[in-house]
Parts: sequence; C-alpha cells; structure tokens
Amino acid sequence: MFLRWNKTLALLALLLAANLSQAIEIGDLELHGFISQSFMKTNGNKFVLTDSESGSFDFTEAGLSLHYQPWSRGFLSTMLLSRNFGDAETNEEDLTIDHLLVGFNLYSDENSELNFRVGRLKSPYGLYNETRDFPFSRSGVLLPQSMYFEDGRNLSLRTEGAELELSTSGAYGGIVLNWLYGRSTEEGDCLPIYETCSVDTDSRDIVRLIYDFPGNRLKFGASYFKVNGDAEGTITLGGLNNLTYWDKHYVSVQRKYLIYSLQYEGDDWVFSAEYSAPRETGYARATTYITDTNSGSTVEFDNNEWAAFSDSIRHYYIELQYHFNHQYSGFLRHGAYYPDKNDKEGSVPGGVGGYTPTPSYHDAYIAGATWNITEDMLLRGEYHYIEGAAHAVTEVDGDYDRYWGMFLMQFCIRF
Amino acid sequence: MRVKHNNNYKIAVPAGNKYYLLKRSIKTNAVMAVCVLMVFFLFPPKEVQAIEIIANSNVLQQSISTNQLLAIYLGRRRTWPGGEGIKVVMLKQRDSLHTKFCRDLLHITPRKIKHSWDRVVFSGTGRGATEVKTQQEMLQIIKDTPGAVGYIDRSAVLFEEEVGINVLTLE
Repeated sequence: MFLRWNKTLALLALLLAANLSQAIEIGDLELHGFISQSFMKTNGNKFVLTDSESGSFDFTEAGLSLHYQPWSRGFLSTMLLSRNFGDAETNEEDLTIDHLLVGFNLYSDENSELNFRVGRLKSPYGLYNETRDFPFSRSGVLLPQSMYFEDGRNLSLRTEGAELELSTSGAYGGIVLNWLYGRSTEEGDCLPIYETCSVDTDSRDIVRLIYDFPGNRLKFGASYFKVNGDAEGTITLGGLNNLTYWDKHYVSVQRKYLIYSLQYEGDDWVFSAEYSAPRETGYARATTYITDTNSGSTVEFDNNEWAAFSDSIRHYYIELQYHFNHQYSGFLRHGAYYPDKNDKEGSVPGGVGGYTPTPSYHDAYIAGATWNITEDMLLRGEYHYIEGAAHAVTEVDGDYDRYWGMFLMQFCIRF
Repeated sequence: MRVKHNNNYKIAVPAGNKYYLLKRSIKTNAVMAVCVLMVFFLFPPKEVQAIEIIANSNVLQQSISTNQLLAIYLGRRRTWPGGEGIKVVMLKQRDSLHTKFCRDLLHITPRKIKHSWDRVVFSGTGRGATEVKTQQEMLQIIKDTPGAVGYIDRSAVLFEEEVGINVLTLE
C-alpha cells in the first residue's frame, strides 16, 4: 500500500508543481491533470475495500493527460492514471497508460467531420465510460454501480484498436457516431477458487450513436458492445493416497450489450437515465480428471457440457440532479442490476459452482451533494442504501447482508 | 447614439453624447436625456455587451453559423473546413461574458461546455480549449495562434481588426 501511495503522491507533487488553476500549454503541447482522495465507510457488507466497514481512505485517483498537436489535422494523446482502490488488482492501477493514441481528421466541412483514431482507446459506450475516472465528469463519488461496475471495470474500460468518429450537426440537431474495433487491454478476471486460470478476450465491436435534439437540451444515445471471451480454469477437488481429483472448467461466452441513454440538461435540472439488456450465448464444459502423482499419468473421469443462453440480465439507473447555483448541487439516484430478471430477489444462487454471492442482485437508492469550492476544486458526499450484494466484495464463505449502506466523501482538484 | 446591428443582436452604445447634448437647447437636451435614459432602461449598461466572434487571421471563413459555433464550442468540430486545426479560446466558466455567450448565442449552459471539453481532454480525442481570465488575454492568444477562435465584448475592448484578427459574421 505504501508503494502505491508513493506513486500517487509523486503524481500529486507533479500536479502541485504545476499551475493548478489552469492547464499548462507549451506551444503544441498541453498538459491537464486531476487528483482525488475519497473516504468510504460501509455497514453490513464490504465494498471493494476489505477494510471499508471500519472506514477507509484507500481510494485515490490521479491522472495526467498529455496532448501534442504537431500537425493541423493530426495529434498524439496519452494519459497516465494512478488508481488506488482497495485490494483487488482488477479495481486499481498503480500507474498505467490510460490511453495512448494517434488521431487524424479525415474530412471536415462546416456541418460535419470524420475522425480516425488508432491505439489504446477508451471504449465509447454509455454517457460516461470514456471519462469515468475523471471525478469532475461524474455527478457523485461513484458512477451508477448498476451500469458502470467497479468490480471488473478494466475489462471493458479500454480497447486496443481503431476507431472512426462521424460528427454532424444542422437544424435537425447533432449526431455523433463512433465505431470501434479492437481487443480488450485486460486478460480478464478469474474467480479466486481457481488454482490456474486464463481468460482470453477476443475481438470486440463497439458502436455508439448520440443524437442531440434541436435546442441541445435533450440527448439520446444507443451503444452496442459485443464481447467474445474464453476462460479456462483448474480446481483441485480432493485426493486419496497418491490420486488427485481435479476439474478443468472451460467457458466460451459471447455477450452483446445494448445500452440506451437519455439525458435532459436544463439550466438547473439534469435528468439522466440508462438501461441495458445484455444477451449472452455460449457454452460451458466441466471435465473431471484423476492424476496419479507417483506415475504422473492423468485419465479423464467425467465430462459434461452445457449450452448457455441468457437474455435475462437487466441493469439501469435514473438520476435527477439539481444545481442550486454555480457552487452547490445535489442528486437523487436509483439504480438496479438483476442477473436474472425472472428472479429479481436473487433467491437462486448463480455463477460457477454457486460461488457468486447470494443475493447476487443490486437495488440501490443514492442521495448526494457537491460543493464546487472553485471551478477546479470540489468536495462531495453521498449515501447509498443498497439491497442485494451483487457488487460487494466476493468472498468464498458467502456471508452477506441483504440490506446494507455505504457513505462516501471525496475531494478533487483539477487543472 | 450608435446602434449596431449584429443579426439577432441590437446593441446600443453611447458615443460622444456628452458634447452633442451641450450644444442643444434645454428642451432638446431634455428629450435627448429621456431618450438616453429609456435606452439605458431597455439596455442596462451591464447588458451592453456586443459579442463578436473572432478568429485568427489564417481562418478563411468570413462568417459562421450558430450550429457550427455550437459544434466547435462543444468540442465536436476540431478542424476548420480548410484543414486548419481549431483552437477554442474561452473565458473562465463563471465569467459573466462567457455565461452570456453560452446562454444567449449557443443556448446552452456554461456547465455543459465545460463537461464537453472534459470529455475531449480526458478521453484523449482532441486538443483542449484554452481558458483565459481576461478579454485582452483572449485577443492576444487569438492573434498568436493559427486556427484560434474566441469572442469578445466589442463595447468593452478595442482592437485593431487588421492585425491578426478575423471578425466572423454570425449567420
């Protein structure tokens, strides 16, 4: 933990050494940055941080973004991100390259523009994914957990590939269309029960359409996100004398997300809602082997295969935000995630071997407030009342409270 | 009294009234004074802000539509039709002229503009907008930066149009 803090603090020192009130611009080079420190306390369950129940400051974000525009139609862009969030490796990044890309403008006239980008890109889906780590773009400390999960976030966050973006506007309003093709930057997550495990995420397609109605107050978005993945893991079941029984699990999944987004932004009110109904197809195979540890020989003992299909996952949130003035704002949010829409109460344990926490759904009500101390500095707090433990820390013993709460505070600076 | 027409904007600017009034009769003076007061009542001095859209002299366009300006200030148009990269310059979010520019010309909130630029910068999809504290600073950057675009309050700032600045007519 101290090592992580040192890196975060080094980044903070760099931010402080900079002029905090505005971005640094040297010729064609631009530097922007931010840092946030949060406090989290939960009761009932643990959320991401294993010490969250006693109150934890183990949640820090810092980013340094660099943009270089040597050509009028082309640029290079990158961002370093340090994210210290709990103990699981899948939730945090000591110091990583958030994005690294080359962008070109292919066509431009008064009403439209076509851009091409290649490299490590932020996956364009929903209203927030590209800027989910930038605290000032969020209405609260955390984005709606029913849609933008913290657990396993890195799998969908970035894509290494190429992207086309068409932007056009006129009396009919504005349209931005993104199409991205590539691969995940992450290998994927494995349940801790597996002794050896590999996850291979194949190619992915992401298409997003954002339509701004005339007047620029109402925005509608539709994102399509197709992910293919294979996972293989082994687990020892038991042993007798020199014989060991072990399982090899193989899962091949194709998941298609369709996310609908709606946002109305008035002078003081902002209403946001997103809904997703992923469709999953694939198959799973479990093979049991017996290995003689003396001779090293292995024989297959049992083999089962299941076809998998699901279109019953649902997640959504609705949020109403009110800006009292340029300094103070507040929001109310309701979000839900159901792995099975036909079993919303989560009475049936799900997941491989029943290890997914039960109840494995998430139904939350959140209230929060933000104080914009200056344009570049804010303090915010929020309380989550949650039913279901879908996003609590996964533990094998499966001891969860159905009803639980979470309080968070966050301080952020940007330049 | 000089009235400047700028499409949807009709801005009244007092010019040389003091000396003009002295030469008139008391009655004429009174009528003029009432007229001036009425004009000031209709257009209070704080509101007398003739917003001009200005760009670097290398920008070839002579006019700009509200739609194009909006797309530029939302970070969705990053290249001028001629191929020059656009550099957006704007006053700080809480500046009164910036607020007026956003609300009256673009019909959106300064908050939305700020969020749009955050998206551009922190997703790495383009060059950020430059925020300045004063209009003089804005003028200087626009003069010095190819492809730069911004706005000023013409009634408050004097500038030489021929030196590095292209005033765009708002369509």
